[in-house]
Parts: sequence; structure tokens; C-alpha cells
Amino acid sequence: MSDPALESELVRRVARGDEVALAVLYDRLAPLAYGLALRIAGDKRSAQDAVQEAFLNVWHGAERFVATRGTARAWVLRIVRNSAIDRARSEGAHERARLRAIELGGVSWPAAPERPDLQLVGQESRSALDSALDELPAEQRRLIEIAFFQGLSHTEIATREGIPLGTVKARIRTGIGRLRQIAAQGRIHA
Amino acid sequence: MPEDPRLEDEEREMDDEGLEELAQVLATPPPRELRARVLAAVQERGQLDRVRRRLTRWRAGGLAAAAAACVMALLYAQQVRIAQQNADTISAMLDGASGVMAHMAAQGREIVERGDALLVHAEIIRILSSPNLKTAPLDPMAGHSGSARVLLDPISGAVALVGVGLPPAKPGEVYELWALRGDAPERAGEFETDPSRKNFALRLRHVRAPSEVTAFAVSLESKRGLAAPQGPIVLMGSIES
Repeated sequence: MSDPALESELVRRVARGDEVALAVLYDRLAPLAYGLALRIAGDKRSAQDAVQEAFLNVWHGAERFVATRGTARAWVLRIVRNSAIDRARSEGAHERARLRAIELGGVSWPAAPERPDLQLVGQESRSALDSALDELPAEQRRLIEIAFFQGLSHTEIATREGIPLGTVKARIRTGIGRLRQIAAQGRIHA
Repeated sequence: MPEDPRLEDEEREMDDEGLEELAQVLATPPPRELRARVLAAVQERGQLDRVRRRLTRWRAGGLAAAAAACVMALLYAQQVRIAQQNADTISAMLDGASGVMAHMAAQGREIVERGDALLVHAEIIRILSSPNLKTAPLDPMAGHSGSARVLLDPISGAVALVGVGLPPAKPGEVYELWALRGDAPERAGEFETDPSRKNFALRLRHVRAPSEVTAFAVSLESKRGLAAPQGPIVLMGSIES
């Protein structure tokens, strides 16, 4: 259960150096953080690294949390998302560099380690959401994925997709509302 | 960075709501060891932070102490400099004041001298204004120089002497004016001449029975308070009728 007041208080305590408060916060938010990171980073190892990095950032940046500007939960999840996006981009850059090196002269370049078990978990967790997302119109699904899993702002999405900012906001708002309905009907099982 | 500053409030609210919804949908139990990893990393970082904070506090304390010492040293140096400046100023003022005091003392002496001279001149004028004024021109005796005139008020016996060219007496010597009548000479007053001035004007003692005085003489004496002249007579003359 979400308890915004409790989670805000936990973040405030973390800001004062309370390690127990961080442990409690982790226990409350780790499944959400890990699921989100897994979806964005695409594999278990990167997701774990992203979550660890994110909670270290929470530990260091807790004094910057402003309760009037959103919930502690959303604040932590944004940190997790940013961390996971950085990981995913880093992995992508690694893969592009490897392919380019091979292309240029057969240079040996280690590929990213195999992680079939993690891919399986990722696929499982994706499938629940994907089935819900599949029920959305394609344009809503695309914008939601870009906004929440690639971390682009609505303005950046509008520029990239070549559509008005108002349209971006409306489609995302409608899509989220639809997902909420689907979840309430119990048709999403992570 | 934990937060994206580009997000506007409305957009951030939408993003927060959506993110929480999606995370709820995506929720996946993390591996058990991840909790231990995260907390160990935080604990390690926390210890580092505590050490860093302690070092920062010590450094800040040291810096504060050093700064306080510097401030105290600067204040002390400033006080010493101000005290030195004050001492210099007071010394200069004292030098100036002593100069002023000396100048004032000299002026005071001059004023006293001029006051005395004015009194003498006033007395001489008073004697000269006497309707029965008597004078006695004194001429130099052989081997001496200078000349003088005695002014005598025959009623009060007041005597003044004006003259010119009488050389200053040697150290230990003094001029003495004598009133001469038939019986014996009477001391009419001793005097010195100013080496810086050629002329002199003196008010001397009153003489007894001025109407009986017939002549005056000036002698140069090596002793004071004599009843009769013992030194050489340098000027002498009779009262004019």
C-alpha cells in the first residue's frame, strides 16, 4: 500500500543519515523499483545495478526531496528510471562500439555477457504490461513507452514525434487512465 | 541526477502518476541478495560520509581557529599601529606645544620687559611733567665715554636717568648714581646698560631732600651697597638752575 506521508518521512530520515529508514524505504519500494528497472534496462544484472545505484543516489540526494513537489515514491521511481536509462544507454553504446570495431578491422571486442535467465524474467514481466499496453491504441502505447521508459519530457516527445505538445499530454493522460482501468479490473498480473 | 529539471509541474504530476501506475504494474520481487548489496553499499557510503563530515568539521574547526587567530593578530597589529600613530601624534603635538610654550615664554618676557619699560617711561613722563623739574646734564670724565641727564622732581625726590653711549659694565661691576649735596653723597640707585641698545632710560630711587641736591655723579663699582663711591667716576654734572 502506498502511504505518501510515511514514505516522505522515511526520505526525510534518510536525509539525516538514518540507514534503518533507508532499509524500510527499500523494502517498501524495491519491487516497484526493480520491476521498472528490469523493464527499462532489459536484463536482471543491469536492473540490479540500476536499483543499487538509485538507492545510493537516494541516500546522497535525500535532502533535495521536496514533499510539496510530488510523492516520495514518485521521486524514488524517477531516480530508478534515470539510473536504468543510463544503464541501457551504456549497454547500447557498448554494443555499437563492438560492432563498429569488428566492421573496421576485425578487432576483438568482448560482447556483453549472456543472460538468458534474466531475459526470461524480463519477458515475463513485460508480457503482463505488454498485454495491457496492447489494449491501448498504438499512438498512446508508443508515447507512454517513450515517456516512461526512455525518460523523454513531453516537449521532447512532441519535437521528436512532430506532434503538438497538447496532443502528447492528452494521449499520455488517456493512456494512463486506460491502464489504470485495466489494472483495476485485475487484467494485469505482473 | 535524481530529478529532471525540465519537467514542468503539470507534466511532472502526470509523469509521477503514470510512473507509479506503471511501476505498480511492473512490480517484480528483486533477488534477495540485492537488498544486502544495496544496504551494504549504503552502509559503506554512510561510514565514508561520516568520516568525511567529521573531517570537514575538523577542517572547518581548524579553519575557524586559524581565521580567528588571523583576525586577532590583525586586530592586535592594528591596535599597535594605532597606538604608535597616537604616540607619534602626541609626541609631535608635545614638540609643537613646547615650541609654542617657548615662544609664548619669550613673548611673555618681552611683554614684561616692555611693560617695565613703559612703566619707566610713564614715570619719566610724570617726572618731566613736574612744574619744578630739575635736570642735571652728566658729562664723561677723562678716559670715559657716554653722556646722560638726570631728571629730578624736587617735590617727590623721584629720579630718572636717560643717557647714551655708556658702555656695558664688566661682569661683577655695576654703575651707581650718586646724589651730591654739601654734606655727603647719597646712593640714588644702581643700574646696568643694555649692550644691545645704545640709549638707556632708567627710573631710580627717590632721594632725600631733593631741593638740597646740587649735582649727580655716576661711578663704576665692583661692590654693591656702598655708602660712598669707591670706584672711578665716569659721569658727573651739576643741576641746572
